Amino acid sequence: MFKLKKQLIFPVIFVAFLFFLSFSISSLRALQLNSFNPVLGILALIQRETGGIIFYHRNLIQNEKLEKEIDFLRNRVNTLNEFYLENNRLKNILSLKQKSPLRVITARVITRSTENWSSSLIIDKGSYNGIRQGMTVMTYLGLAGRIIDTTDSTSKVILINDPALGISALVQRSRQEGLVCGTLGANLMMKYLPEEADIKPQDIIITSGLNQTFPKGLLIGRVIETGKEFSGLSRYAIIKPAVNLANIEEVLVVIP
Amino acid sequence: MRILNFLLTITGFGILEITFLNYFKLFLVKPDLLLLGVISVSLFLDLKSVLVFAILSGIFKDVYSLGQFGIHTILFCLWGFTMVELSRKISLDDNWMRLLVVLIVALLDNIILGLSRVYAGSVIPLGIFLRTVFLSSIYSTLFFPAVFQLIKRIPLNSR
Repeated sequence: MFKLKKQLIFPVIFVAFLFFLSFSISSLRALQLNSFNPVLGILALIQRETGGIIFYHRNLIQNEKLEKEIDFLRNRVNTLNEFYLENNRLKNILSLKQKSPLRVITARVITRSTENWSSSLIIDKGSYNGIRQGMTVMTYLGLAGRIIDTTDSTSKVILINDPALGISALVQRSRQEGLVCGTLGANLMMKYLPEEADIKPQDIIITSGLNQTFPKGLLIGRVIETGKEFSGLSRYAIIKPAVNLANIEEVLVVIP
Repeated sequence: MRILNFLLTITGFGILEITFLNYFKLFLVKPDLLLLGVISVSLFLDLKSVLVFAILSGIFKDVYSLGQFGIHTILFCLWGFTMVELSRKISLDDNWMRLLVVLIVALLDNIILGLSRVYAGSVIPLGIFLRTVFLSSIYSTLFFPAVFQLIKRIPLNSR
């Protein structure tokens, strides 16, 4: 009986030691790693630098290859960004096309005016696509201009900031009417407003549809400033167009 | 051969003017490369060639602009003729003198174009009128040395 107990005592102690070891191993590991850390760090540095010297040529070739790959990927990211922006613009146009009761033709801007005394652009759709002189041109943000000339495959658009274009407009809030004209600058001018006209900054200006050239209710822009005409007989308002006329890339031509 | 060179030069300048120069607009104005081209050729070509160059440049400009058709053609011919006659009477070899003449021609060109728009019924605020006249002329003048050097290198004289 005593012999059997004596035979059991060693395995029990061994198992107990294993249990102790397994519980204390994490603290032992931490102790060991902390003490060896600086040495291991120096060794790793030496190993890395030696590797760098030994494999210098291989790394050089690899570096050149990776740099080319980075250039290629940068170019690709740039192209994809362009696609992303174009996709957003086209989505907006498509959404307007679906929501709007107006029948529209989508066209791309291919070039702009040569001179400084007019504001116009040329689009890639013409009479072959059903575009006629006098049709309204807009973007998904608002009114952009009017078709003044067409060929089979192109059309010339006079933009709303050209002084030759007058648009019958009204203030959305107060229904005050006026004539919006271009100034060749970045802003438009609403003229012939009576002295007591109810118009103030931040008012929205839309087309009135009175001269039948432009459909009623198209957004032109927002009032940023009002003032008195030089004669003192009437007032004017400076309007910031809803459309950024300097950066139009796609337009919608409204079919009456 | 000469006409082909003329056409290529004018097309090159014209395309540059309606595309890339839009990115170099300063206060909404850009230099008039075709006008500078006409002035440049009038400094070393004979009157007949200058008029041919002016007519072709004017037509290109008129096609892509909104103004009355033909106004640029007429004006370019006028400036070409004036420059040839002027270079016979006074020496335009000095760079500063040349720049001064270019500035005067650009100013006159812009004033006539602006007034023609006003005469046609457009109401242009005085500030914008003056800004376009002066800035556009100065901007064009600053571009002249580059255009002149470029045109001199193109074999426009070869038959």
